[in-house]
Amino acid sequence: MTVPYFSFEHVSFLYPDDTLAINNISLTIPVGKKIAILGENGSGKSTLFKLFMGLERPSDGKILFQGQPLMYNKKGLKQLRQQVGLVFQEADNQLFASTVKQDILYGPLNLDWSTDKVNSQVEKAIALTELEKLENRPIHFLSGGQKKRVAIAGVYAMEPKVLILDEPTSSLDYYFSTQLTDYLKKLDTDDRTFLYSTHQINLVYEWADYYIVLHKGELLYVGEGDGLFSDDDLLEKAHIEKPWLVSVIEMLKNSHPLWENLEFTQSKEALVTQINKFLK
Amino acid sequence: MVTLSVICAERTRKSRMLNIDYIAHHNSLHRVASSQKLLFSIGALLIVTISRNNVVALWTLLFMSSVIVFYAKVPWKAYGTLLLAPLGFSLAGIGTIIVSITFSGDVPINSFWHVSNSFVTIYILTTDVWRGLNVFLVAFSATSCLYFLILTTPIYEVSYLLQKCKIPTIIIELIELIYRFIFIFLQTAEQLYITQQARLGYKSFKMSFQSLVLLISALFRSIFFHYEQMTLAMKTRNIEQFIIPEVYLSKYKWQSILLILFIVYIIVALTLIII
Repeated sequence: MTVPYFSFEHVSFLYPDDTLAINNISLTIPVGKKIAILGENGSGKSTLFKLFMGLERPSDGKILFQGQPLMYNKKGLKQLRQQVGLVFQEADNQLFASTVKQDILYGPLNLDWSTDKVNSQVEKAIALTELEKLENRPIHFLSGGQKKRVAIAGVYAMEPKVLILDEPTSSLDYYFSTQLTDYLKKLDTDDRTFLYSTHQINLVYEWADYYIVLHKGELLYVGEGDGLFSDDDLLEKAHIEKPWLVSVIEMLKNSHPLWENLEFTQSKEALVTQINKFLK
Repeated sequence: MVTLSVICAERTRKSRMLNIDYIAHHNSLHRVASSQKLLFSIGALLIVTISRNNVVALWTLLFMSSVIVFYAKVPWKAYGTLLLAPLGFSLAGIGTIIVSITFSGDVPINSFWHVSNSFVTIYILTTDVWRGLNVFLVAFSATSCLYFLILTTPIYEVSYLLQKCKIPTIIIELIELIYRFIFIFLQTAEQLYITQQARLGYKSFKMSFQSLVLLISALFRSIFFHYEQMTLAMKTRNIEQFIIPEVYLSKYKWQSILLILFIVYIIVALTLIII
C-alpha cells in the first residue's frame, strides 16, 4: 500500500483567543484522490488548510506527511511546500508581483530548477489557464476572475503533489467555474491529490471521489460520496446541499417500480444511459 | 467641505496615479530597452542641472516634451496636466527667491522695485529675477526629463536595472512591494469610500468627518490584514526572494532612432552651452 500524503492523529488546533478551530481530528489524505472538503462557513476548512501547509502548528496531536512527522524548521517546511500547493480564496492576497507572468514565475524560481524547466512550466501553466493574452499585463488591471486564474497558474507551475484549492470558484463566473474542473481533470495524474473546498456541491459532485465533511471543527464524515449523500441527517447538520443528480435519482427510485434498480451515478450522461437501458 | 475636498484630491490623485502606470504600459516606447530610456533621461537631467543655462533648459524642455508627445505618443492632455502638477511648488519657491525682505531699512541701489514702511522693506533685484527664471526653467525641464522615464517605463523594469547597479536586494524588493501596496491601498480606500457614500456617510459636514475617521482606521486594519495574508501566501509558495533573474525578463533592444535623437539633443545642448 502506498503511504498516504497526510495523516492526522488526534489533531486539535486552538487559536490564541481560545476558539477551538479544529477538534481532535484523525484522518488520512490518500494518494491520487480528488477530495472535496465540505462544511458550513466557519467549520474549520481554512484552518485545516493552514495545518496542511505548515502555516500553523497543531496545539495537540500529530501530523505526518508521507509517513514522516512534519518538521517545522526551515528545511522541513521548504520540502513540504514544494510538494503541497495552496490557492488562496482571495486572489488579491496571493498575488504580489507586477505582471501576470512574473507572478507565475516566482514559485518555480525558488525551486532550484533549470532555466528551461522553469520556462516550460510557466508556459504550461499560462496555456492551461488561458492567460496568453494577459501575460504582460500588470496585476492591478485584471478582473477578479482573471486574478483567480493567475493565482491558480502560479501554484500549478510549481507542480505540487497535493493541490489545495480554498473555495476556488467563489469569484469565478459560470464559464470559468466549469472550466476549472476541466483544468483539474487535465492536471490529474495517478499520484496527484486534490483538496477542494466549496459550497457549490453540484460542481464538485461530478468530479470528486472522496469527501471530508467538517462541522464546528469536528470531523463528521470521511469517505466516498455514496455514504455521505444518503445520510440526510448528516447533510442537514453540516449545511450541505444534496447534489441535484442524487435528488433526481432518489425521486425516480421512489416514484415508479421501473426505476427501483437505478444506480447512483456521477454524471448526467450516465444517468440518461441507464434510463434508456431500463426503457428497452 | 474640507473632508470632501481631501477625498476628491485623493481620488483625482488615484486616477492620475493609475493613469501614469497605464501610460507606462501603453506607449510606443515601452518595447525599448529600459536601460536606454534611463540613460537618456538621466543624461539630459545631468546636462540641465549641471549647466544651469536658461537656453539649454528651454531646449531640453521643448525637446523632451516633443519626444514624449510626438514620439512616445503619450496623450498631450495627460502630459500637460502632469507637467502642471509641480507648477505650484516651483512658483512658491521662486517667489521666495525673487522677493527680498529687509528690516534694516537700506535698499540696495540696483533694486528693480521696492516698497517700504517704517520697519520693513520689500524689494526685488534684477539679478534675483533672472535667478528665479533660471530656477523655474531648470526645474521644469528636469521634470520633463523624469517624466520621459516615468511615462515610458513600467517600474519593474527599472528594478532590474537597479539590481545591475548593485543596489541592495532588500531595497529593490521594498520598492516593488511598496509599488504593489500603493494599488492595494488605493483600491481599498476607494471601495471603503464607495460603501460609505452608499450609506450616506458624507451627507453633512459633521458626518463627513466621522466617516473619514472610520475610513482611515478601516484602511489601516485592512492593510495589516492584507500584509498578513500576503506573508502567508509567500510562505506557501516558498518565496524567499523575488527579484527576477535577467534570463526570464523579456528582452528589449536599444532603438536606433531614439539613440540618434539623443545624440542630436546632446550636440545641440553642448553648442548652446559653448555659445
